[in-house]
Amino acid sequence: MAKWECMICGYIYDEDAEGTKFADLPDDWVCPECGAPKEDFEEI
Amino acid sequence: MVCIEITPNIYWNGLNDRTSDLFEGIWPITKEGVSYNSYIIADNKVALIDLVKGIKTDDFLSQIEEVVDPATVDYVIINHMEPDHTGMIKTMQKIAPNVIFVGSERTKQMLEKFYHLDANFKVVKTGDTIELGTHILEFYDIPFVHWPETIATYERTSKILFPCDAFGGYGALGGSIFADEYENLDFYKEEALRYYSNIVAKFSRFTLKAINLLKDLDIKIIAPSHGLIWRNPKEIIDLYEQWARYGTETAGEEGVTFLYASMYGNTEKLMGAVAQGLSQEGIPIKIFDVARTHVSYILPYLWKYRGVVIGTPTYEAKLFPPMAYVLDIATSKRVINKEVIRFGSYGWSGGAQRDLEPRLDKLKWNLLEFFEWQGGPTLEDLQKGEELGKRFAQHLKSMHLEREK
Repeated sequence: MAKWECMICGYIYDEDAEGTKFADLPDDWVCPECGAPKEDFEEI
Repeated sequence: MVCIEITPNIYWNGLNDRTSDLFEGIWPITKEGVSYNSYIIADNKVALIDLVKGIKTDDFLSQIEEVVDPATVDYVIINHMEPDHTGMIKTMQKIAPNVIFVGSERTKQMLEKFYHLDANFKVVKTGDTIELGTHILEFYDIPFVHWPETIATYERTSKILFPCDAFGGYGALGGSIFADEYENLDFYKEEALRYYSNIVAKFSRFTLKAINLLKDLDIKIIAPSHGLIWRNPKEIIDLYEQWARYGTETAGEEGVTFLYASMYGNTEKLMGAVAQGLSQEGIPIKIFDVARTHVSYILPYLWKYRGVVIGTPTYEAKLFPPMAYVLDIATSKRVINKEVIRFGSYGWSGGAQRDLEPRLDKLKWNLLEFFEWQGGPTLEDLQKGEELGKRFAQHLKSMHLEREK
């Protein structure tokens, strides 16, 4: 399971903790911290 | 400077800083300076809007004294808690112990962590107001313009917007505080773009959101906390909107930021040839030796021009380190969606190209062509370089035409 980082605010999406793969999140999902869209995230 | 009245009972109370060398401890302002603008609204209740960096305390307090006794200040509005606007916060609290600091919930938390203050604090959110008398302050959350806690303050009677970092720029104020009193604004507009690309760029999406949120307000004056005050607000709003679009859309002006570095002049020779090719096609180019130019001055060109040329040798099987640094900063600032070519010399095995490509993927920069050679370029290499420059200019011009359609 991977972690994804918001390139705008630094929020980390941890697939382990969330139980959902980042790729499986809906397209309109946004960063819970700053509202950035999925394309502003990178796998770390 | 002394306090300057903007509209009846609203004063600019800022400081010009011509002695700090680095803004945020990284961006050079030695030659240009910067201003920290604070404002006083002297009504039945007295409010200060934003403070200043913790320098020139006596000057700051003396300026307030020209209008009111600093001990009688009722409110200090903290639009943005970064220390260049809150450095005077402990001083203000000592002088006016009953003062109420006003800001977002997030500002309250962050102020506690930065200053360990035990202060009166009023939390506000979008739509909240404070009546000072005839003047009424309205607050708007504009998160990430430029930190997560940021708000903007709008004064209803005078129709002044106080947006703190948004619509700001570098450059100490050269006489007038008003943009419309300058014969020529080139310096301030350039410094506003440098500031935008250094400070705000990464948060362009939020900048557009903020512009959208504030566009229904009847704004007569924009009074930011760095740089000039705009009594023709459209001028600076339009610029900021255009710059924000460069960061969120595949926009950008026709032109090339030409980044190069050279250890012994071999890559530099090709730089000359490629630049010649570009120039023959009549495309604007700005050349930077990245080992000799602070990235602060490179970012505004990277931000606005669609094309980037990267001329860099291999250095110990990697990218030449000053070039890697510029690309790191560009990545961090989200300078995305560029068209790119690259060339460079190597001494033995190469490696710069291998190091570069994943960096370009991260930046979403589209590498069209690259060209490497061992050691010194031959005449044929130089001709290749010139042709490469020409082809790249033609590509950029055709993209631009496509977009104009």
